[in-house]
Amino acid sequence: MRTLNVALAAALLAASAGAGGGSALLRGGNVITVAGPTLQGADILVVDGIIRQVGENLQAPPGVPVIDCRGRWVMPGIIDAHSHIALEGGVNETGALLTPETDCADIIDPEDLDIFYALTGGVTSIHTMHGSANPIGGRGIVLKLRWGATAPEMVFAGAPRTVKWALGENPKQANSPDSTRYPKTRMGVEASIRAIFEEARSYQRAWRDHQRRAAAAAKAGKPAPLPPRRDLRLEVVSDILAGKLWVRCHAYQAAEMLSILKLCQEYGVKLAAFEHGLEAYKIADELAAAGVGNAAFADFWGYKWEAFFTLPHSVAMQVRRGVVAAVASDSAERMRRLNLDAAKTVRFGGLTPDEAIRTITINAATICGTDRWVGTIQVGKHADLAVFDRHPLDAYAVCQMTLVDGNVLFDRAAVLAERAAREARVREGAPPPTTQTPPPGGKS
Amino acid sequence: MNGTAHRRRTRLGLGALLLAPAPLLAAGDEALHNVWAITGARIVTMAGPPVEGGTVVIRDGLVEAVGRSVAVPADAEVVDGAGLTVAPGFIDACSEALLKLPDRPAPPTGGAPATDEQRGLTPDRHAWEYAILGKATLAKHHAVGITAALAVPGAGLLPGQASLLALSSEDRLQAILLRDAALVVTFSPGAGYPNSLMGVMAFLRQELLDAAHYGAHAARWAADPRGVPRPTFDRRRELLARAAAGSLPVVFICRNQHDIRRALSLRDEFHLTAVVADAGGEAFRVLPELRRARVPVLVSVTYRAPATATWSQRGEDERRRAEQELYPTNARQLAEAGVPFAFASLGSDTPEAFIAGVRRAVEAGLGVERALRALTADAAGIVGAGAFLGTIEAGKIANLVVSDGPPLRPDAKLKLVFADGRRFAMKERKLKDAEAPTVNVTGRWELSVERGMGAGTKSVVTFTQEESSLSGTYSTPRGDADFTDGEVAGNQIAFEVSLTLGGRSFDLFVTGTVEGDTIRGTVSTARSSNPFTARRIP
Repeated sequence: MRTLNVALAAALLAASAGAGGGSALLRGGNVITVAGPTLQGADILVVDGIIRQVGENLQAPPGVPVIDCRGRWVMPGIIDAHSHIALEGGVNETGALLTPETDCADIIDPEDLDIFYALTGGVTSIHTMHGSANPIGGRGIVLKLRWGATAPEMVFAGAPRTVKWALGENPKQANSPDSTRYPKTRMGVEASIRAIFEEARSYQRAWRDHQRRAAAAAKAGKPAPLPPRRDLRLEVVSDILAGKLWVRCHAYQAAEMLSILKLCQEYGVKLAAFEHGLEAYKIADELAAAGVGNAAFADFWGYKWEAFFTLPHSVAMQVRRGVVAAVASDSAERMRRLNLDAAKTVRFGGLTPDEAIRTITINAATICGTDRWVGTIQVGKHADLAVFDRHPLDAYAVCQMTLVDGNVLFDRAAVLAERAAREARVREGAPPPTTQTPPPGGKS
Repeated sequence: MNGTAHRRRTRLGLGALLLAPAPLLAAGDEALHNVWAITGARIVTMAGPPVEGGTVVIRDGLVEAVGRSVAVPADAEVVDGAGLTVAPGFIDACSEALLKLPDRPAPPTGGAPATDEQRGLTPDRHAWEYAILGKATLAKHHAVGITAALAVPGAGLLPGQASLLALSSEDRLQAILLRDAALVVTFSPGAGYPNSLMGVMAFLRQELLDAAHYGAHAARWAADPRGVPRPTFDRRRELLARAAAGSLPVVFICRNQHDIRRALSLRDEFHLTAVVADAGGEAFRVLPELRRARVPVLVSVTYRAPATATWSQRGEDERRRAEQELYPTNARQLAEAGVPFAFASLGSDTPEAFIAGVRRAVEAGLGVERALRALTADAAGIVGAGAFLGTIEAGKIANLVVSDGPPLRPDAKLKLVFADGRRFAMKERKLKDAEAPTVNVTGRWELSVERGMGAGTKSVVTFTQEESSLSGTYSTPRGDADFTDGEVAGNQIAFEVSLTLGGRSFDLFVTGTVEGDTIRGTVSTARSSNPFTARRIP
């Protein structure tokens, strides 16, 4: 235990998620339940990773540790609906135009240090996904940030699987002047999606025909005909057409969002949410009516021409008109202060604090299809919790502790104590560690 | 002891062939003798308890007999094994060092589609076709007891097929033990599709599905072609169909623990006969899954934490600590979990470093017996050579290590190896006289050979001399080669260099006498010796 890093590693590994959920009694915090009014000085009893009781003067069963939350604020763990962390080997497969056969589940990197950084900001689950290079990209996945667990253990069980789509400049490869890839227009992007829908329908017909022929052959006592070639890409598109995959569609402009919404309605595709959706405020009524959410930025725009036409009031305008809007990060750095991004909806759009908190909790959970389990503090839900020293929307609020499934995976006091101990050792003559803090991951 | 006239006795470590200026490690002595008997030795057969004071008889490349009361044949050359230990020759279960593969082409430009080579899709490359088994290469392996290796082409997504080679001959055809032992799969994308790790996984799945479909179609047509459109021959699918059918093993080269999980997923989905080549040394982090799958692991011994490892991301101190304390326990943990494994030189710079890495695993608690088994019997079993390699048993190939103590012990000195029944003596000094150098040849020299191969052309030799050791580069108009283990004694120099010219390898043995700025001496090849003169380039 010579250095901070060694000590930190020990602390982090000791606190890593085991196979099961943890138990704890969080004593006396101001509990932002999201499901109802905020409770002053309430207790939360967690047993085996599940919230069992919320109320006053709860008793900790024998062996269950008590966490003193008096004077602190406890909120549901923050959910980042748009992330690219915890993935290995690139988030874009640009070798083909339409790549739904690729799957983030194959490349989960449970050792990505960004997971720990996310925990330091109170984030407990994320939707991590393919980038925006392709009209239809790969399948995305919802992860619980069970730091220390293996890749399969990180997967949020029961969460619907998703597929990333992208419209506009990125799938056009407008930023790659050398690219010769079709399509080069917005029309082409949508046409490429429609084309593969039709291809998938033909593929399904071919298999139905084969099954008919095989049944006839069996009846006639003849050998079964050779089946058609299996095509994983078209099989995933078939799952999209069957509504089994939730579409998460990167888009900026109102017109192309409406156009793709019509396409999805035409084919019966489950369009769960737009990603970024900077102009979603212009079509809030249409999105609300269609039940399409938006994983938005709080106040990030102007970085390319299609991202000019928005304003920091956008999320509030969507919320007020009934859109399930989430404030998301798309960034390994911004994800650590999503509480402050949510606060901007109060400052600019006039949302109430509770409405603002919803944009990083239950709204994000609804978009991810995990609202049955997380996003509020309610009996029966997973004990994914973030503890702040002030109200999370306070500009000076700092996350103090983060629990996933009732396991404390970040404890600021413990980390600071380790750091102080290390600094003391250095003062006493120990060699300083050659720490290389990795830069925040800039994947997109 | 029947005192036959042709019986000869050899004292180990001596003998004229070890003296300069003749090439030292001439290919074994089999041209003269193909029958050997090692007598009175401790024989660690790996097929039963060790035999004390036993005899091994080698004939025509095979073990003819082994045991305590084995008669020494009249025509055998006898090696007095008193005080020596004989063990099976070591097997490097995954080596990238024996092959000289074509350079990877640059990615396409201007929107051109990527070729298969640019995509890294060259599964019909056979390792044996690219093996370069120069004398120096063989000697470096023999010096640490390695007599066979699974040569693996490692660059690219489907880089080729692995070959098991005996390190007994410079002739690659003679060296082949298993021609196409396994299909090699890596998780490294090339240009074009796929160009991401997630694309690699999707691509491999589709390839295996297509191959299985192709195989079913071909079988259908072969059984009864009437009414079946004939399948179009596809080299890649033909090969992958055998992998998909489980008849061709697949070696997955895994850079970290996550690659191992990916390999196991593909194995489960497609019922592959899979072997994990643990290049990242992280099998110990996937123990439950490996135990369940009972997939053998080829363990690298470089103990470098991959960049994805949690310790690597937390600073130099933690990475180093993990590499010192944790990664060397990989093999031990596999042994304790009952996962079959062998050792692989993947990532090791030299055969010497590879065996040093194996010793490191022993120090980390593996146990020397277990390590020896992993290097011999288990390695042979995993690479599919258990029937003819890996133990000392009558009828098996005579690959043997003879040392003056228990094999793998740091203080045990290796005396001899036999590969395919050919005897290779350990390398001794090139120069007879071990006197201190009286010259320093560091610098560039123009060398001309007066007759024979290369006569009339000028080569440039760049020497770096550090006390009595000599290294450098030998540059000819047709190709260059580096050498490292030359010697200087008094005003004498000697070095060996392996040149690869037009795909063929030539070993040159050079000795010379330095007089001022001139060196005069002899360049020897396997065929001839020719005088040369070298002049220092000012």
